[in-house]
Amino acid sequence: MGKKRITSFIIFGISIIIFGIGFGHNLWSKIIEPQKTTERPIIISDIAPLKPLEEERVWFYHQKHTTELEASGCKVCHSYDTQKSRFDFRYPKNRPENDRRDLIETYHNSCIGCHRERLSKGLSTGPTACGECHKPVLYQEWIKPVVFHYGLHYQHEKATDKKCELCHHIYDEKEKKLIYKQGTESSCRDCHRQSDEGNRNSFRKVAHSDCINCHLEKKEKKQKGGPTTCEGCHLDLKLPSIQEIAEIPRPDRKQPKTTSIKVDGAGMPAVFFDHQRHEMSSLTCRTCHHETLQACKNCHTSEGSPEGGGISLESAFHEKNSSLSCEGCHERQKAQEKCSGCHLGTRTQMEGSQQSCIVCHTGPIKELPPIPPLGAPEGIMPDNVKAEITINILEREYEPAKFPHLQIIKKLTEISNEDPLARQFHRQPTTICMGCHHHSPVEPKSSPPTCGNCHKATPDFDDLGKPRLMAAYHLQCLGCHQKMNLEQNCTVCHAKKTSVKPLISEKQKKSK
Amino acid sequence: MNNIDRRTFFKLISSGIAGAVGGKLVTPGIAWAKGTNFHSDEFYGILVDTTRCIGCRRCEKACAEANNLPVPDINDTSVFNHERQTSVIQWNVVNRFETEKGTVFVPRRCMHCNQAACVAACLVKAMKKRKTGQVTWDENCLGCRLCMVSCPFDIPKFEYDKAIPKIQKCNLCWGRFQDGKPPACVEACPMDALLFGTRRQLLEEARRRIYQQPDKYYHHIFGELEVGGTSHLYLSAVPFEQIGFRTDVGTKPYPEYSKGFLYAVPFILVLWPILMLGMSQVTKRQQNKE
Repeated sequence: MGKKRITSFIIFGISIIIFGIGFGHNLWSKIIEPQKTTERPIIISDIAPLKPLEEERVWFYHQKHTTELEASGCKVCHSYDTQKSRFDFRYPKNRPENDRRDLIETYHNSCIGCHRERLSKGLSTGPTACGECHKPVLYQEWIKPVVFHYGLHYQHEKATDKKCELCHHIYDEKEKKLIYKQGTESSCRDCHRQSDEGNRNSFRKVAHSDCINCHLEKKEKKQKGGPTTCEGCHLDLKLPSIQEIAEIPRPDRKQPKTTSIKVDGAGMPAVFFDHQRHEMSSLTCRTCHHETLQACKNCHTSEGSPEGGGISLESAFHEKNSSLSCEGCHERQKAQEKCSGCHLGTRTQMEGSQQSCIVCHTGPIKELPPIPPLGAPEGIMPDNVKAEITINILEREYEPAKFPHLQIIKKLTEISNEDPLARQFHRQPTTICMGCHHHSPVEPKSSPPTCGNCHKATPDFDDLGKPRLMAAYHLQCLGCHQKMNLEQNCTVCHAKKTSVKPLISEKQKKSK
Repeated sequence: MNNIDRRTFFKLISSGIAGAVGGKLVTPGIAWAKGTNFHSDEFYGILVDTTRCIGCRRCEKACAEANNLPVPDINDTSVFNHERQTSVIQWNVVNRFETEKGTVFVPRRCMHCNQAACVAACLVKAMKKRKTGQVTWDENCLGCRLCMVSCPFDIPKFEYDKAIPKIQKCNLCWGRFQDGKPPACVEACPMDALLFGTRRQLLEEARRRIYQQPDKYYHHIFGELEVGGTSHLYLSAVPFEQIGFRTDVGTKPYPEYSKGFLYAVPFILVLWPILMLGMSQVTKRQQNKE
């Protein structure tokens, strides 16, 4: 009996241990679960271009090191040029670039050396075994690209007393050094591209070394300066709105306020281009100018050339699918909530009339004539615009819907008048009518056709694309409400009726 | 006109006389409210544009009223909390799905396959594929429920709680169709999310919509090729897996899977006895020789 009890105890104990190990293992691994970390590491795989990697790439937490070593400064890891008083942010110090073995050695000596040293001093330290660094981790991307918009640019202008030469430079081929020449300021990416090219460093390298060095300098002098940590710049920056951007003074590079775009041999009249106004509605120069700040026609020739990516000047201005072209950018403005009701509604192809060409192709003029705002809608039609329209096609189930016709026209006119771009293209008061009265041009002489003129109550089996009257109302009204984010509840239009008749009358019922 | 036979000739003549007597012309086939000319021997169907559906459930109500089913309370939005299946009292259900492009409502009902598995499975031809595309159910049903097992979309439902049970499923308003009316759900839809027409027309319309608004639609018409084509066609803004469709049904019509075997049965039934008889004869003669 005693033996049996002991045996059962042992079996019970073993099972508890096995279960415990299994459970405990799970628990333990959950605590150090790499998924928990939200910090994005720097992935070190410098050796990869020299030879395929033998070990897993190292996921390096820069943030951890900067906070831990804040007192000692960057000099612990990065070499400091005392003459230029600049940091060289390459790691490790004095790295041999081309020899793989040496590079690995230097990395290991620098990282593990420091970790061991700190360990012997009893300070907080990092791993010293292989697998502790060479292991994959999952992380959440939090590094956002820095948009150096006009606001940030102006902030830097102010901080440096308009010393453009601190950042902007060009390379003098004869003297073989960097010089500053006024009027040649361009985007950094104009020279510093995606990767190193000869003696030009990649944009990523120069952006980090120049920005952080300058910021560090300020910090050392105890002056107010920019951020020196990753998350200082790579945050989810709130971009300024068009209204905010418009108030910021523009970077001055002697760019023209207005210009006339003329193409030799083109059939169309010249385009009056208000450069200043367009600066106001973009975040950076690169919104239109790619990397360079040159005129469009320098690269985009009328036939298309390799410099311009094979894109002709005509498409560079008119290509609707590009975000850099005039028409493409204008097209994107239609997706705004306030515009989408008409522009992305029933009639998606609202433009294309020849009148829209001459809005831009004005011919050689010095100044745009002022566009008067659209007038009050009451005066458009001879017998006045209907103030309210009662729609009662569903009166068997609901009270008639009251459509505030005039109120809607007034609101849309107001939206159009507020927007400078819309004001250019909406020249006639009747343009607003076309948002709903599609397919038939509205002329001031006569009232446009009503919905029921084309959309019949019964389905048109010859033209399935044309909705029935009930569907036409719902698609048009509700479609606009959906896109402009307005009230979408049924009861807004349809007041409930007390006695509701069935949808299908008794007579129509199929005898089952 | 050359292939007109004696019987059709007399039919036409008599109908002409009857029409003349009645004072109005009797049009053969289906008379639509608008007097549109339709070929009565073409497949009809419904195009469901899920990007238009607003989940008002009027189709459910109209379906119930037209087919003498219990009328649901369509103001009750709690039904959307879980995905519903069609049932013996609901031939048509609207489901709500949360997708990458927001909320999508999807009306589900019998797909009316071009080569329906349920029709092929039915032992007594209670399930019929009509010339005009509808898959309908008749009272001469055995109650074997093979149609339920065979359906790739799990549509036919059996009245387990009735003494004389029926199979309940959408019949594309076969009764209304014969009266020259579109299905009740189509008539009730306020957004024209449901379109009734010939399958050929609907495919054209569906393709036109995808072509004109390529960003809006997922470039696939569910039912164009699935299980050999169906009369219900679906358009969607998101991949169909996200709105509760089975996309693993393949493009082969379900009856094809058993066709080879079923065609072999009569042959074997006839040939097997003959073969056996012959072999027995052969062996008998040899035995006699010995």
